[in-house]
Amino acid sequence: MKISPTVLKETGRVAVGVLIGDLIMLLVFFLLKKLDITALLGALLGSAAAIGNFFAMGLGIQKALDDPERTKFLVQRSYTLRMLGMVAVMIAGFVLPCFHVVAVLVPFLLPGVSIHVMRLLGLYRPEKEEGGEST
Amino acid sequence: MEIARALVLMGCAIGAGLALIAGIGPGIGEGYAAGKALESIARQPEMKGELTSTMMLGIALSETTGIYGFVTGLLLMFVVPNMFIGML
Repeated sequence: MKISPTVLKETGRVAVGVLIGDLIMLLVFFLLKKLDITALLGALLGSAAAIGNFFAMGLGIQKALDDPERTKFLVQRSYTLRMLGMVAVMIAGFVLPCFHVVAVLVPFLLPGVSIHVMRLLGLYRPEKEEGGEST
Repeated sequence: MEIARALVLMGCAIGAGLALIAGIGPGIGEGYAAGKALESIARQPEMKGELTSTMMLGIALSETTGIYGFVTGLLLMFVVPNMFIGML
């Protein structure tokens, strides 16, 4: 399946937002004198999972739109699977001592925050795709 | 002491269960949004890119509420019980 440019572009935007949010979070850790390897590893795990989750959502939507008869089912299945994956990552963040809990959890909230910020700053422009053919 | 500990654990478990209910709503909403977007694309195929983009961001936003619920539930399961039991 060819990945739609819309999915790649939106994932790229959200990834930039998550990385900026990560830097701010690590700066706060540094100012609180709590920046250590667990915070860095936690931020890495959380960011990778958050960006991967957004990309998987985009792929799921693309697949669902290409199969009109099963759209609802495919989107709901994608949501359930992604949520299970996220819960597994969060539990790993809670249980494994090599990750800082807060550094794992905060990046999961950053895609939503970055979309809100993009809209507030007027940076959000919906992707215009040539033609109506399916990708 | 034992009763207080049991009450704390019971409260946390009930709270976590209630918080995790928040995960149901976005799942239903996402399916509904995708269905409506598909209808719109069928009506105006030339708008597919714009509709997909808007829907993706909308779905990501609605999913954030589910994530808040999960985070709250996991905090209630893993962090809060130890905190309260330590205070007893």
